Amino acid sequence: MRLPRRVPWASLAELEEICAAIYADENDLDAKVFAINRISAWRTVTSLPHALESALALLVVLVHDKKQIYLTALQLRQSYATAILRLVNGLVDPLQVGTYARPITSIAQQLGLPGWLVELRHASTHEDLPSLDLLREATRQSLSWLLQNYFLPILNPVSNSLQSLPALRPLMPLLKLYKSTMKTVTKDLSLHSRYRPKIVAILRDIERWISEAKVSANIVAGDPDGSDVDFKEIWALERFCEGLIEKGMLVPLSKKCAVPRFLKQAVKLTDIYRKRQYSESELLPSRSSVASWSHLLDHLHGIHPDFFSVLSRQLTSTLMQADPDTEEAKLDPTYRAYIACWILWIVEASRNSPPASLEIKKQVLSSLVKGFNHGTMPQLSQSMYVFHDFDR
Amino acid sequence: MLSAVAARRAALASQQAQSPDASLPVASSSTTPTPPSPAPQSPREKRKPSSQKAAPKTKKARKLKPFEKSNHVRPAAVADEFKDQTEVIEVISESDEDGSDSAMSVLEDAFSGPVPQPSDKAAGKRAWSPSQPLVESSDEEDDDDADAAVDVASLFPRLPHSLWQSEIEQDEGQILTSFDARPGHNFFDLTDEECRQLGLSSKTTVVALGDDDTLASLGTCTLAVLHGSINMFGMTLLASSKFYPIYAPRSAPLPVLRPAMKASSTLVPGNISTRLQDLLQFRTIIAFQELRTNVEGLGLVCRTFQDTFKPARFEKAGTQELSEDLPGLYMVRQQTKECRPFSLPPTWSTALDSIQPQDDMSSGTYIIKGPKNSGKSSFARSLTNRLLQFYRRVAFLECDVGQSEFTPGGMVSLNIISEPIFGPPFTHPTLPNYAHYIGSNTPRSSPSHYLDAILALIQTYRADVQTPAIDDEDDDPRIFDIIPLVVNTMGWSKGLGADLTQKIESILEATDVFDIQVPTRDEYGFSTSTRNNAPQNEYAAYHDQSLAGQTSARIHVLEPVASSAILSSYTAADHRTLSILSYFHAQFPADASPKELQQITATSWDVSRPLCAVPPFQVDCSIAFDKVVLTGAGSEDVVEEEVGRVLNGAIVAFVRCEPGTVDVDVDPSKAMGIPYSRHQAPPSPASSQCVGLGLTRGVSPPITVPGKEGSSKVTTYLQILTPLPQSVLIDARVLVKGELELPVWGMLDFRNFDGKDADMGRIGSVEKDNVPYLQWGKAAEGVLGGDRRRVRRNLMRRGQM
Repeated sequence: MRLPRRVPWASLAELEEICAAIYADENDLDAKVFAINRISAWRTVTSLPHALESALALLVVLVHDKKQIYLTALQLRQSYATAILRLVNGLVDPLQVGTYARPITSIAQQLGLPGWLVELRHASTHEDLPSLDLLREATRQSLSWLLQNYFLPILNPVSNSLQSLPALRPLMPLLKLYKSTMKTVTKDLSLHSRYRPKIVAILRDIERWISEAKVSANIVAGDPDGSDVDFKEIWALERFCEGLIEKGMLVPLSKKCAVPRFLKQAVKLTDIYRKRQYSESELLPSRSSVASWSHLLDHLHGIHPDFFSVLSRQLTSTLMQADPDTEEAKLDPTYRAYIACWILWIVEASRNSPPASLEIKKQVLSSLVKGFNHGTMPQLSQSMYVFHDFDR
Repeated sequence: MLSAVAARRAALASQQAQSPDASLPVASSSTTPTPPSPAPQSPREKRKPSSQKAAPKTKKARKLKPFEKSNHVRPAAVADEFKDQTEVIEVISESDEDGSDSAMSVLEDAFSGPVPQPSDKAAGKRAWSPSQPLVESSDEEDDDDADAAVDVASLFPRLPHSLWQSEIEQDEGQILTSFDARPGHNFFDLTDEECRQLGLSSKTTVVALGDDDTLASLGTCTLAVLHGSINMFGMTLLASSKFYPIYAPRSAPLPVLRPAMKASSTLVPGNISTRLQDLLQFRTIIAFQELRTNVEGLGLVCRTFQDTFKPARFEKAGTQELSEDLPGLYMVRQQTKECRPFSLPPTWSTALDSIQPQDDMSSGTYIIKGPKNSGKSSFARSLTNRLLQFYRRVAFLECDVGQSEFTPGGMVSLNIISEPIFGPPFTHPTLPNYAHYIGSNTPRSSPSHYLDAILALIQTYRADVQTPAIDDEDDDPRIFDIIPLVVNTMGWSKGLGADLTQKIESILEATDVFDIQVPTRDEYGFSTSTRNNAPQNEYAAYHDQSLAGQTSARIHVLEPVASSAILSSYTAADHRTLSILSYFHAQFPADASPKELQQITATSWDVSRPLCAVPPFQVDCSIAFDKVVLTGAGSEDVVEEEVGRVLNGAIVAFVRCEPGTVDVDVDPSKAMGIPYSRHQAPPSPASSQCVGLGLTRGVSPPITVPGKEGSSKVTTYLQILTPLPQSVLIDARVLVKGELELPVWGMLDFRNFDGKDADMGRIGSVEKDNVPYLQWGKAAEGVLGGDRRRVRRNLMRRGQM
């Protein structure tokens, strides 16, 4: 059961009243003082949404400034600077969802936060305090950003999914780079030390890609405060797995593919099928495939505990979706067999951790069974051996 | 494994060897103990001439300091259990630190300095790589084809915690109950006649335990030892006719009953019916009775803890009801993910065994400290129980405002305990004998008030509690004219938190210090535990220079409780939620008032209706209260006009002040009948007492009522819920609102939980979407910054991958 959230207002009308007090008339200081008092009271009731807390901080300085009751400009600059840098930090921090820190600028860009506010944050924290003039302008812009991105959307909820999705960076170049690098490395041991920085850089870039995907997941879900962490993680991993499953990644591209033992008798094997050959006795992907990919998969699973589960789910659904009668499938009959081999590999790889392994087995089996119920019989033969192996 | 970080630190150390101060980095790096067997080293390491030289040096330094975490000079004698401690800490720190440190080092190394290229000489051949023993064999494979199985694992950064190997599972399946119930032999449901013979009031089940039998129980019951004695929760229970309530939910470690060596008996062989005669051959005979308190109902209120007094649905197999006559009590056969037994680490039992009543008539003062989740509360409970074997009463000073033992969070309290504690905190809400309200789950925003409050409680203890003037009223052999003190501290053991605890320690002048030390990960090259060594920290918060004196306390270094004993499925916040809801649903005796060193603990819970349906007290705020105070950071900014809004739905503390100490300085025109004005400090702990908490469930709008002589006054009515008996409320005339909030579970109507989705959020007859102060579902699309600020402290920088 998902719990509701405690909010300080009894109804949105109360929030609307505050919004009006802040934005209706820029020069109405009394209305602003009213808003300050009300938000201050709310603050002691429960923790406020970050946007509201930032609005309070900005308003307090603004009123001070307008009433000219400050002692020195320094005091004012400090107050402005703190309000702005806390605004930026508070917006960006919840989106630091990955294991590793992302540059603030890139998150701000995804949020549509003006870049110069981020600059101002850097300056306020580490450099000379910005000038009063700049800070005043920043406060004006910040308040209007909050109006557009917090108050208006929350008061007038519109459910248009047409909202422009920030496009995800293409994943393929990244995976291709990884694959080619690993190809080089696995063939020549002497290159290990030279290539390590490169591989580390690639892994980091992959991690960054997943982080970016998580932020997109926020926006997809209409849940930009990021309360549902699991959802975002899974969504991002799913997108990543989709990339992995495409031909040429986990499943070697070349038509020199191998065929499961039982298919071998049916399909005439020629030499060119060698490349996709998986270890026959174990029904696992070929050794070169494993050598190239297993470390990446293990690594990702180390960071994202759900990774194997997501990957096996995606693999299974690919297995069940592909209709064996389409042209494409006929041209490339071993693609799905190879996919199945990777599922087995995951089960193998998770053997060390029985609960996780069991969970994955259950998940794969149940989706296979479901698929069989709805699907056509011919599919059975090709997916069946996944079953067999589970008995071992 | 000799991590590269350690190697580099050692290199640094050897560089600094010329300067006399260089010992620090060496010492710190050696907190990673060197395992005896050499593990494969990372390839980069050997290429560094400096690290190669330095590595043996570190080893030497390590040997010199085998156990240096606690190797610092102690001001006083260190108890014996110190030795046992060594092993445990090393084992843990090894598994803990090794992976993470080296994982980081591989990367840091990869980016430190230029990457060495294979030398020109080796151009024709393969470069020689000392770290790759596979080189020779792989040469052939390489020529083979793509099938080369090359070990490229070293190219990948290793992760801090390999999630594959979950070490928690290892204890699963351990046998907890070896007792085999055989009716007619070692197990009897007594008949009414037999109960009468034994002087037992209600339906009783008798169980006999042989020497090697153990019995792990889940659920609730009352229990009495009829013959022999048992060990439970680290305490030995002797035979007596007294039945003790046992609360054993899955959310806490379960009690395991074991026969103890001490002989004692309440049974007179002549009184026992013939079929029970055989029981006397067993070492221990225990009687169980049903315990009806409705405590299980708290699981309905807070669904996080639903059915926590029953076996988990999917673990039914390993558990069974002990007897049909005893609904609600289960035997747990095996340890599972959901059921963990209470176990006493070796250093704990040694420390507990060393506790004896003092010969001279002074009383012991025992302080327990350690980081969070290290088992402080469990140890404090065990210690209190142990002391209750010698003393009739034990004082318990709770300094942990986050998770208090006897009271809801937010207050520091002094409780006089006379009954042993057999259950987690939420099962024994107790009226504090003396308490002060801090108003938050942490003393972070009011450290000086926190210290004042504790100081006041310690003074109260010394003056009124330590050596009470009571007469020995019965033939209880335990000491009655001395009450020892157990002090539990908070788990905030770094930075300001450490300074506060140290200050408490120096005020207290304890006779025994129990220091639970968790092996810390040494991240910054400074061993953080050396801090403990330096009481002369000149800049410690709230310390006077003169305070840093030597203590004469006995110091017991304890190991932390095994991580498997802490159930990861419940967070500290979950326990806080349950604790406060338990308090508001608890039923205290209506006329009780915890005076004269009495312990008043709730023994039943009213869970027939949610808080929103309980009839409240309605009080006229201007008459019932002299003063309303807000505490907590930012509360100074609440203006008088808004205070009603702040009180609505808030958790408030009732504070009793000594007459004449409340200065009321209120402008009645502004505050609408609520005696509040800005910038008021909370009542001084020296002249006030917090009696307990209430919930202001409603605040009326200001109402004008006609007063005397045609004048009129404005007043505000409050609707208040509180479990407190009226006798203690009567002179509590100051209301303090802190930062504590009512958990969302407490705002919902659990009677609607079982219905459809839309019904779940209905409260009374108010539809889900119209319920004030609660927002269901996700925020509207496109809202940014709609969530409360969240902090992530475990973010890693790029170089740390």
